[in-house]
Amino acid sequence: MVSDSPRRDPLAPINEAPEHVRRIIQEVLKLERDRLYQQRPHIIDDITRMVKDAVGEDSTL
Amino acid sequence: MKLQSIQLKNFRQFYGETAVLRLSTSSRNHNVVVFHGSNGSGKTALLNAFTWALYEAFTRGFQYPDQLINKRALRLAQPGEVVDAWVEVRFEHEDRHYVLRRAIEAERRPGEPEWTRLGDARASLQWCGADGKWNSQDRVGDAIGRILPADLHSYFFFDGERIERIVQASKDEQVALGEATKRLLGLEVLVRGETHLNRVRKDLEKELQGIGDPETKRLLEEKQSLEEEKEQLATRVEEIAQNIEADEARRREIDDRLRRLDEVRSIQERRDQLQREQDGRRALLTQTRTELASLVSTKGFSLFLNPAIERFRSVIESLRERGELPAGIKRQFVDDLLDSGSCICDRDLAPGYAPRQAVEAWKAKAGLGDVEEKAIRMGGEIAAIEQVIPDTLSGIDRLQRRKSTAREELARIEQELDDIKEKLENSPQEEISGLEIQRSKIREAIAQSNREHGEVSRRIRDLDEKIAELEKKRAQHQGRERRQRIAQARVDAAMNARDRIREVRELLEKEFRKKLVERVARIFSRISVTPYVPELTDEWGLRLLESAGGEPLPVAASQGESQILSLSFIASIIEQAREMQSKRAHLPGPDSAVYPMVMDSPFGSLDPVYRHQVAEHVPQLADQVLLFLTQTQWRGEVEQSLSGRVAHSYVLTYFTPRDDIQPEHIEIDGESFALVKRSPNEFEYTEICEVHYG
Repeated sequence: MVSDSPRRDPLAPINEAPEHVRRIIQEVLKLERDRLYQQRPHIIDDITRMVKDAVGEDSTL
Repeated sequence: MKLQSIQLKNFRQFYGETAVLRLSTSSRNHNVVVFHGSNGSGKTALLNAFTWALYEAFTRGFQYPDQLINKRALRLAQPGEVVDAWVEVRFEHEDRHYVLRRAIEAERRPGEPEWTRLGDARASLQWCGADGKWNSQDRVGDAIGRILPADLHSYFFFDGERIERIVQASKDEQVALGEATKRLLGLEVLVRGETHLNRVRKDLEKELQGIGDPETKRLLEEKQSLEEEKEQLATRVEEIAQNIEADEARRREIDDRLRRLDEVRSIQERRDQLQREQDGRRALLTQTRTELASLVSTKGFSLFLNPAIERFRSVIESLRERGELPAGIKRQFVDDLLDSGSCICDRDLAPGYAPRQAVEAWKAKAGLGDVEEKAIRMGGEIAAIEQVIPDTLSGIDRLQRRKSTAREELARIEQELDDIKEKLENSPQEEISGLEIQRSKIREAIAQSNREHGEVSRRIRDLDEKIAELEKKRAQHQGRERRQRIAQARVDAAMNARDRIREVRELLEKEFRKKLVERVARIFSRISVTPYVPELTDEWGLRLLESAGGEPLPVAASQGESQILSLSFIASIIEQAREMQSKRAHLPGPDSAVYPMVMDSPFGSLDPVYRHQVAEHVPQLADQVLLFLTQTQWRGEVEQSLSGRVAHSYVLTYFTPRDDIQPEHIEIDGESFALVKRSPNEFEYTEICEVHYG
């Protein structure tokens, strides 16, 4: 019998993300959840702001 | 969603306003609400009062859905008077109390013989949160859909005699079921997050383009043009899929018509069976190919190791022949003796002495101690590999045999299907030959669409590769200016976040499917007496497999088994939602994991064994169970299993204007209730009374 590949924790991609990416994901998912009641939420500007805040002008690059 | 109460006014059989029928259940041990009624008393109308109020939808088999207002109310009203009918459902969801009312009005205008419906049905929804304030909710449909998705409602509010529909769902119903289930479990948030981050990524790329160097600009432009091409192709793929679905629906319609024609019914039924077998064999072939590929990729290497194993053995053998193995003494031991300057026999091992030279000579031999250790370890590994070789060979053999058997059977099935097609096309009856020729054309169109689907999908995959390649190049092309680097980092972050959300979604979907299948199998085996095992296909088709005497093959499930399988599926979704909610508080999950199951005649077509089994398990399947039953369905096994778990019980008394109908009664908790009574007037109607347990 061939064994399955080891199971990966579904949340690992978020937990293992760099700090600023994890922050974006958490903020985006929270906003999406809050706006789930809307068929077409207008949240592109909010998400853009979240990304820009997470990678600010003063970021050390 | 936990139902609290329902009240009706002038809805179908129910004249005037009914009392508020309490539905709330306090514990998992008393979570059943039963409505007793004879045939025609309004049980199905009551079930449809829920679906109409919540979704403006009706169950299959609910006749004349345009005639919702009670006939007596309409006839007794004066010309010019407006008559209304409404259903009010109160429920709780996630610490909020909701009051939903859907209403409809009609008027007989003076001088007009017919009733005129006044506009569409109107729904209002109010909710009260923890602060005790009531709020009015607009977009009622959307709000209800978020609590229990509309496309899943028929799995929670259903006609028990038709519930096997889940098992016999069409392809598009299966897809809808899959999507709705994922939405119910909260994966919609991830889908939206992924889509919106992708749009943000595109916007940020445009910003970068505005400040980037010429090479970055060029790469981005090229990428955008490929993405546009990909979007067009994706639209085309959707169109093709819709065409296929429409053609399939037409094909099914023709099959239905052929099934209704006495002359060819048996042939069409044989074809139905062959097609099911064909699906089963195809699925088996795909599964076998996957297993074979997996076996070859994980164990196939062992088959090429024989020469290396032989070589290893001969090296070890020659060492043994030369007496160099086993080494018998360790180098470390010899070194320690030499360091201490004294042998174990107390001889002096000072430099220059003969005993020291003799001990030093052992060092060369002792060096083989490492070889020996490795030889022992490798020997063990080789023995394990040798064990794998016959298993791998027999596994490959078994899978190849399975593949060729499935292919032979497929060829036989296809031949028989061709024969049927030819026979029907050449039928002397024009209707039959006409239908079959039309069917063949549709099948050809489907085949062509499938080919195009494959080709366009391949082009999309090619584009994906090219886009990924360009993305890599762009990432390598380091921006020099700070502003450009920041813009670049934002694009990267948005893309990274999008990809991770996608990965989480895919992992969750995979885990969720796996668990769902396990749950369905567990619940099904608890209720069913058959050895069949449920399977969920990639397309969300639910079917039963049996593996007696060899490979698992789909079985033609009876109506009873299909109903049990469907019930198991619904119960599994509820269980899964409950688990996801408890474990994933920090991830978007279902809002609430409490759902009702509202079933009309769930035991109608079951034999006594299954009736008992289902009745025993029904209260555990959902948090709240509403049952609509006739006296025959209640008596015996069901009554014994459920009577201790009933929270509320109602009797629907049907008033008939006919004189020749015998009154009917039902005894509940030692008290007699009328099921059918003579109407005091010319109208038929139904009244509902609550049973108060002593």
